[in-house]
Amino acid sequence: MTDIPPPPMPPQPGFAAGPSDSKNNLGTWALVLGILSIVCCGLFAGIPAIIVGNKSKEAAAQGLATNGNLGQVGFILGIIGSVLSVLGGVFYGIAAAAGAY
Amino acid sequence: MTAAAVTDRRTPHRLAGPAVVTAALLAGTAYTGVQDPTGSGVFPSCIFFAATGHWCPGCGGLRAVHSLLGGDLALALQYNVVVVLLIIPMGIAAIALWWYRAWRRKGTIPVPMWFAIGLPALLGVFWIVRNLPPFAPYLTV
Repeated sequence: MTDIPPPPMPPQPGFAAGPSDSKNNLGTWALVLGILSIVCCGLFAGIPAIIVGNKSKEAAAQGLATNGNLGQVGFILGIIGSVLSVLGGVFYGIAAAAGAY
Repeated sequence: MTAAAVTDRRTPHRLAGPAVVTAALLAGTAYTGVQDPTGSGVFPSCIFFAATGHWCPGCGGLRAVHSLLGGDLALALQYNVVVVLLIIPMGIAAIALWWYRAWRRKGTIPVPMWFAIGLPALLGVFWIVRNLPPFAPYLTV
């Protein structure tokens, strides 16, 4: 009898029948960071929102989270907040260089 | 030493998250109350406002917190009505719920999808409306 490694299983055998919610906190955090990137912090919350949102979607795909769509919302909000703050920074830099301030 | 004690040393306590966030927010709130965003003190300014001259949905939030702590509710509402009536109460409620659920080991706060879409949509509407000339005098300072 050869020593064949078992196929990868979800880490919680007790919940093997359905998807686990052990990584649902990723989706909630992605949403919080995404909203913060819109309201105050732009890039500084937006990039973490993109990263955490991505992790949330991965976790959902692996059956470790049930709220991957929440991670998707955080991911999109993070992109919006980051892009707007980068555009704002570029605009501000150009205006400053042109001597408008 | 038991196995549980070893595990406790490796993973943070379940109340560490809410404790750290609560402490950081309390410290920031105290600083914003003692210092004045319109005068003394070092506060971040809005890069969107600096670049475009238009108010973002969070603009006036720190000044509103300072006014609230000084007891001037009317001025706080004019600085940023959404932060005063929505973001601050929801933030306090969310942190209280986080403490409760972490303490009782109930897992992450579930966020319904209508809320995840609705709040950003509301912020987007506020973003536009507060920059329209007829409304700007009431929604900005």
